[in-house]
Amino acid sequence: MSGGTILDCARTPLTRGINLVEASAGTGKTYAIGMLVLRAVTELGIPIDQILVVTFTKAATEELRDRIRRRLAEARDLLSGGTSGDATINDWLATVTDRGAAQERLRQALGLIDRAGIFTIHSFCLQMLTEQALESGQLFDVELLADVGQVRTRLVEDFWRSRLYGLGARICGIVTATYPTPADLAASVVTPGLAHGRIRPDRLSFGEAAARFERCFAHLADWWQQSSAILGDHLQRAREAGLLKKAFSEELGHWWNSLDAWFAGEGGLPEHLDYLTREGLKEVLNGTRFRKRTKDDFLADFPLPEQLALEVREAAADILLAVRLELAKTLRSELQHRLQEQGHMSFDDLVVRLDSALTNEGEGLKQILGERFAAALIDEFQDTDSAQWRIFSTIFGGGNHYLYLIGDPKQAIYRFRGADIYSYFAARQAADQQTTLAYNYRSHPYLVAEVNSIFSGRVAPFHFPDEQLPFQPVSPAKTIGDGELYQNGRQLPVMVYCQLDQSPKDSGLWSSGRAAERIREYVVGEVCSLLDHGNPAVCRKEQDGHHSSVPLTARDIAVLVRSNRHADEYLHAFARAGIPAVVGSKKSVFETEEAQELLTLLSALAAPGDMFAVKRAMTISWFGLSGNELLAIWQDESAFDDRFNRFLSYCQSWQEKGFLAMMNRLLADEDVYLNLARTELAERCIANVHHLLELVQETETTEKFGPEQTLVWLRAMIAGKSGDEDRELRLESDEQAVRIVTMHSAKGLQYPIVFCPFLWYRSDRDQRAELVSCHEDGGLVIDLGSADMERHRQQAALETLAEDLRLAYVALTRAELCCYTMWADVKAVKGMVASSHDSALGYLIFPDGAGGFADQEQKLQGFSAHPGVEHRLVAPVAHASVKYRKPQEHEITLTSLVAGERMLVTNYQMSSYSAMASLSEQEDHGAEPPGDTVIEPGPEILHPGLPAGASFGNLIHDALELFPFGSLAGGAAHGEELARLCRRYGMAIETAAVQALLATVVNTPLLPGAGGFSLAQLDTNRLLSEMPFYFHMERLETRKINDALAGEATVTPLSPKVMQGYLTGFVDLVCEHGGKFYILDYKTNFLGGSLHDYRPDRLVAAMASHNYGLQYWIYTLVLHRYLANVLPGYRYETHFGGVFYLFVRGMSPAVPGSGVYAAQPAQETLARLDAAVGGGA
Amino acid sequence: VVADSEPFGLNGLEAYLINQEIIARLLLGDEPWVMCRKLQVEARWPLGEPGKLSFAARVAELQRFVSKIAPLGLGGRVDDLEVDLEVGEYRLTGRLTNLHEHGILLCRYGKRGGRDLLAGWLHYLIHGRQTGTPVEVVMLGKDDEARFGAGCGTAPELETMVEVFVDGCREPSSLYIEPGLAWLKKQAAPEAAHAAAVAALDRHLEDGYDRETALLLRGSNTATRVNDSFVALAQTVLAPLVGRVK
Repeated sequence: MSGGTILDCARTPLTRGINLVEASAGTGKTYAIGMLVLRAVTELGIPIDQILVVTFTKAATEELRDRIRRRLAEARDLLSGGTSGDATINDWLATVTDRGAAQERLRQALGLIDRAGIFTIHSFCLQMLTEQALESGQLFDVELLADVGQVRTRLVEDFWRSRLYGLGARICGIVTATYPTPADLAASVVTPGLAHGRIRPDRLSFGEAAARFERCFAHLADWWQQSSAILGDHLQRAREAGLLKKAFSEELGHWWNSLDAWFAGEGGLPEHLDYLTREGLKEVLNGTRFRKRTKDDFLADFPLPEQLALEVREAAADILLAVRLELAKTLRSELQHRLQEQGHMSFDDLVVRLDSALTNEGEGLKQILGERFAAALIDEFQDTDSAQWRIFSTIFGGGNHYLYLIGDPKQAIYRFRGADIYSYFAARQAADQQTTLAYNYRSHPYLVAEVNSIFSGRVAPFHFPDEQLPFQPVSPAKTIGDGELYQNGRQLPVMVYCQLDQSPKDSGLWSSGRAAERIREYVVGEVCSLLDHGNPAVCRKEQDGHHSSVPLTARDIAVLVRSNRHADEYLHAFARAGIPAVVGSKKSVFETEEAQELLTLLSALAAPGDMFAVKRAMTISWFGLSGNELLAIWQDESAFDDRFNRFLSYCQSWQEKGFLAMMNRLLADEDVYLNLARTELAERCIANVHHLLELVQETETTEKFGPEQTLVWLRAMIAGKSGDEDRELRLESDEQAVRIVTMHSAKGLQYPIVFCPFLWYRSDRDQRAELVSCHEDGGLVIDLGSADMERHRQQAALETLAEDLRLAYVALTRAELCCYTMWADVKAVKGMVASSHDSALGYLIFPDGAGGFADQEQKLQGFSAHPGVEHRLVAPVAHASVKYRKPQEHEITLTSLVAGERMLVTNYQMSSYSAMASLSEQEDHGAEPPGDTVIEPGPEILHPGLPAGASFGNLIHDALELFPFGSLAGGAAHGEELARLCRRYGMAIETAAVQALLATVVNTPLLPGAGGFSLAQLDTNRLLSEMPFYFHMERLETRKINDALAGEATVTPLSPKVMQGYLTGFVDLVCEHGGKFYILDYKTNFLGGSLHDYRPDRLVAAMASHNYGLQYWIYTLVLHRYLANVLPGYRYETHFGGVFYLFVRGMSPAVPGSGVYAAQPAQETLARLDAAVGGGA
Repeated sequence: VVADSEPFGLNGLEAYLINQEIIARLLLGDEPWVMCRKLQVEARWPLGEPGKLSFAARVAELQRFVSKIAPLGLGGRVDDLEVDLEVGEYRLTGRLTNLHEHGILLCRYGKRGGRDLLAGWLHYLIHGRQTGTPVEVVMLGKDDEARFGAGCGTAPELETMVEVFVDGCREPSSLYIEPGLAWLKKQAAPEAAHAAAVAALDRHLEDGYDRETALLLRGSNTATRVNDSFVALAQTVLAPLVGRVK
């Protein structure tokens, strides 16, 4: 392994093996990835589809794909001559020796850019697992679940039932007294990493714990029977003598009775078993009565069970621990199994399954996957975990691949969702080369220097040994001329340390709540001042000797908060001051007030006769009714009836037309947007409403829910926690607004001005947690209550501080021009909030201890000697409430436009075959052709009784697309998948009947007589299901098509129309067999119950009736044009085999060609059609 | 509409309603256990051993509450009192309930609040005015009890209470009970009293139990509601009650 050298994206040689690139914040990580891809293509000659790029989010993959494409295109153009404004590209150009070859490689790469392997880690795992389903032992078709919460909840509930329902009252009561519900029990064990961390204690059997408890209880019960009367007398006398504390004196009777009841068989564990020991009893003796005589003397002759009572208490604690341990292990072993059983997979499962497939399936899978890619670039590698690292190192770490791991351990902040910085360290150990990116392209040079200074100001700035996680200062790439802030002609600082002055109370210390509030007031005031329309701050730039100034706008400012709650507080504070602001957070839309209001509304709509529900719904803000207005409506019978009836009609509309149609009507009729627009956070509110409506609609459609099921679902969503990215709050507006962003969400983003108002905050809640996860011996440990719990708790606290430090690094490196860093001297509240001295910022800027207020002020004041740095003291009380002075809005004068010459009606459109066919007759699955009323005698069709309708048609299409023909022909069981398909299409049919029909379809030879082939005989590699097509129509007159296809028995003439634009559609199946290409289409039309109903003449009539003839002519033309383009030496008569329309109900393997309409379209007719359609090459 | 899964816990409202049902049974001396099975069948109570245990614990807890009633010495329940009074310019009619042989019992298995205090005072005043004799009114909450009785006087008078009520029907009243009590506790320090009242009002609006007031004050600055009129009502209506309750 070589040391950390600077990575020159243009020149550093690309090497096989593991290359670790450490990219500090703002050093152009994405740019570097683009350059590495460019060089892999041009220098190493690796085709673009053999380069794997993995990044963290879906959005990042899209951005990377776009950046890589643009980089390749720019390079291709530059190779033809000229230079770029980008010095790195010019450096690279200078290294290219054979420009022609490089250009050709780039041209090919750009042609295949859509096949570039740019994935999220999860989509990579999914693709690898499904592509190699056999090798990796996975299902072919699994449904991904973003949120496994519901499956986990069911599992926990099942555990609860099976484990607790059969228990005796005493032991069951011990569990339920601490964990009253399954959810409480689950919360005590569920944590990131549960699936793979080491659970401690290693072993504690519930059976053994219960047996031990019963033994201890029996001993104590014996004692109680023999000695309780004497103890009772002692306590009674002590009470009468006033020797007991008042509270205990009053509760004595109750406590004693609860013990009595417990020994008599009542469940649970009575409170204060420790009062049965001397030490425990001493706590409830009245201290004022024990001055001369000691408590020990007084209690000396009390008969007490002492150790027996303590043993019972310990045994009860073991029962709790054992049941939690058992649940943790059940979740670990069963969750995956249950997901798999249901055909589901979680995102985490994808990684775990690929990891275990690689471990268990040996070299075969590794080799197959390794051959797919020659180079792999893993972005955001600091957010990896041990399983991900094992996957990449197993596939690409053998030395034959170019493996580049790009990340920044200083920005590893996703521990809460399973990221593991120790895996990064393991990767670094294994790396053959280590490089870093040296220049910061984001921030003002003084700001870069100040951040360097903060993190260089102490040893171990990230609370790791410097050799493990050092801080390497970066150099600024920007100059002062690239942008500086000015206001009132004065240059503004680049870093402002705002120190909250001493609190008027508590010896100058602040409570965290008050400090946050005061700082919030200050931030709002400062933003008002920066944006003041009369005198806004401006960004002044200098380029080629020219100065330019741009006023600062609201969207240039970001406030980085710690939690969603903080974000809401800032949002409201900005709203009160009149400053537009938006929140970017990971909060679920189901956690909002709008979700609650929607639930209230839908509850009323789903139960339209319930007058109370309707009244309740009328109070939501959507209707904008004041209390007086509501009262007036409720007291006016006709007015209320009117509302009541409207709710009834919405309910009807919901049932008949679906959710969204009903809601759209309600929103319009009730002026909901108008009402919401009057509220304080109107845009936020309306964005949430839209978002919720979309989610409800989507669920209602995919799950086929009725109103009541929709309500149950919505209530569950509101009650639960959602991990689905699609449910996170959307940005309500792209307009000019201050961005309020959680620090976790801010990674990868940058803003001209950034406020960091929470770096002094540190939670102390971990100290109370009954569940601790931390690292030990390089692995994750999940401690539920082992003997080492305290040590692990301390370790976890240190890891939390280390992550807070990384979070602080992320926050402090977001600003381009100016960063405000807030400090307050905050006192600790045990188990809630730590002292600010122990926070990330306290650790960084006061390495020798924060001392008192004066010491802190002196230290912060000292920073202002650095260039561009300022220290401000924030007054403890706001002097006046601030209000943003908005710029004057210009009145808009509306003018009418003169009508142009352009026609608003156009023929230009995207048309489908179905749209074209509708000019003749609507396709109608399952309908009989007209005139087919005579019941034809003859043998019955093989699969009678199957339903008609479009859903059945879709089911058969999907099944024939999904399952390999060979497997259908061989009778392989697909019951489960078929059952799922049936559910999807709302079909209640036996899957065996469907499977039998499918077997018939694939086994029936398609042509009469010998020599025909069946679907089962087709080579799976020569099939293309659901082939999509688009082709250009210059100016298509349906009359010309009618002329071209005149005399075709299966074609119905179209009514006159002119069409322009594109024709699009899907061909059910295109296949190659014996060197010829065929078009196949599946039809589920019911033509009759006898096989004779599917005779050739009947099929011709059916084809004509639905104008399938036109369809196959269009498809034939599509395939003909396509083959002419891509197949060297293509000749229609040689290569085009024909079309088959499979009327599946009439097929029978014993009768070749049965149920099949087969045709070989005449070449001359096709040529006429080609000319009529036009738009071809 | 309920989910088709069994309940493992109860929400606040459901728990309150079931508590009241159990208390009613206990007061009548009925065996409460038959309720358990019924509630389980109705999917209103958890199943299995945990369900049995939690029901036993609930009954024991409520039994303790009910057992506090007999020692109050109010005797058995008696018929309601018909009320028909001239109060200033108004006529007050209706029926006074919860009467016992030796007083009035207002009991609620929950935290005793300012509303209970006000209700107790109205019972005390109306009964006194209607019968001409002072009555002992006991307000029993989950954790404590309070009383109005002989020697409590009659201020604020029934007339004042009716005026406040009628004013509140004409325009939103500034009598916010819990905020008013919070203000009274700290009235010696006006700034702290104001802050405490605003905080109590915010809490009241956020806890969701009083949708009407929340609707009325939606979007308004609660600090402005703690104004002179609020203070005057707190001093006129609430302060005497706080001073007299035992």
